[in-house]
Amino acid sequence: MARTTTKSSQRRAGSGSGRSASKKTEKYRFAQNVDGQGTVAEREYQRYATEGGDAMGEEPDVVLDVPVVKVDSIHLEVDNLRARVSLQAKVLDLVNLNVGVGVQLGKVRLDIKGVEAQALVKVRLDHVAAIIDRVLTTLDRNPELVKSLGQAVEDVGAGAGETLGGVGEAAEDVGEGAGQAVGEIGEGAGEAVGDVGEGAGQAVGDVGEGAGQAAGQLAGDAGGAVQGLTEGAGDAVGGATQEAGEAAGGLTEGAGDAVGGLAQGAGDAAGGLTEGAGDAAGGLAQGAGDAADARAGALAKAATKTMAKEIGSAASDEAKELGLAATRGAKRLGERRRHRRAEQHHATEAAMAAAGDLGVDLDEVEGTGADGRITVKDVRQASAD
Amino acid sequence: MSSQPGHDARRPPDIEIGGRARARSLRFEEKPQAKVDFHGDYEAETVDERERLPEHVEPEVTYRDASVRWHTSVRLDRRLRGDLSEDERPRPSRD
Repeated sequence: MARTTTKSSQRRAGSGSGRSASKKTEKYRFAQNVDGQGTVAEREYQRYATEGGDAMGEEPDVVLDVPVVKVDSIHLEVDNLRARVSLQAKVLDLVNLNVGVGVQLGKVRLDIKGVEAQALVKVRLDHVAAIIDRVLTTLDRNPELVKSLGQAVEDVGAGAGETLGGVGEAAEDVGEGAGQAVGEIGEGAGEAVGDVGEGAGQAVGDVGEGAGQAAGQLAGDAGGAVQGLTEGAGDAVGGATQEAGEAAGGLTEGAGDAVGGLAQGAGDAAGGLTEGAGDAAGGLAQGAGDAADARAGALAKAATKTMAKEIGSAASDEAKELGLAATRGAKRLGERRRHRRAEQHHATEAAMAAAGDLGVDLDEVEGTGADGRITVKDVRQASAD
Repeated sequence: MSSQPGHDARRPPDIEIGGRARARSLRFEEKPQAKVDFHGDYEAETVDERERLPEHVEPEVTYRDASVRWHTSVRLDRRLRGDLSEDERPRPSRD
């Protein structure tokens, strides 16, 4: 609140550097001013008003000018008078200019006589304009900044919601990714199975080819192979029981001889076939003329190969059967020999086996079975004694 | 006279407030309560010149032929405009 008592006062607000009191209308002319010279206060004011920026050629944008106040007598009471000049500018969230000055008169009571006063407020916006211009130029050159700045507040406000939404989307992505992965795994498995099948087929083909090659090799040295198989069978049988092994050895020898003979016979047969085929091919070739020589030779070669395979296969099967027969024969021989020894010692076969296991000489055992036959119990008793 | 660090005297102030008064007789009935404050990011310079008038006046004392000149200049903080080069500094645009 301000309360003033004045006899005369005048003020002017606007732009420009002001005018001297001597140029004002008669109504506001005070004292005996000399036109063109002014009072001391007016001359001081002229210097004051043109100090600073104006002297630099930068005129203010806003001027509140109280050029000269002349008062003969004034009683002034001021109670909490505030005056504030602020310069504020804000561009989005990029620039926030705020600068100002405030004047506060808490409580003033005074009497003034014969006073001349001036007051002046100037505000320049050039710097603010330059800063804002530069900001706007930056935004003009980088329009994405406006978008990002505009979204910034929305992003902050909706951040939580978007986060939750993002989580949901992420979960969906995970689920989708998992499903896709499973699908891919299924596809991969299918492809793998296909590859396995293909590989198996190829392997089977290779096996067949290898079998054919093996058969071919067997045809070449069937005799030796069968003989080796037979010897292996003989060794196996020999390891089964020592006693039976001896018999099996003899049988194996016989079997080996038989296989050898068979192999030799097969070889001879193959040779004969080959020879015969060759002869036939030769005959065909001769009959067909020189032009058919190559074809006849191919036929002879194919026939020979086929026969060799069949012979090798037959020899292999025979060898297997011979080995099995040798094993069975060895077993039968062992059983028969044990039976004979049991009859010789007048003991049961179980007693014979127990005597062998316990190292008991049946000649020293007294039989308590039917007709004095030696039983297992007798053998165990003799072993305990 | 008071001045903030970094004050650039060559740069015209963004806000100026000033006044001067000359009185044949000046008498305060009670001790005045006056205060000047600044706000924002500013650089300020204040000039306070007095003739026959102490900085702290006393009530019921008549001061004769007293004069006072007070002027304050406020500039935007250099940090807000410090990267403005000489070429970028504002120039008068009015005709």
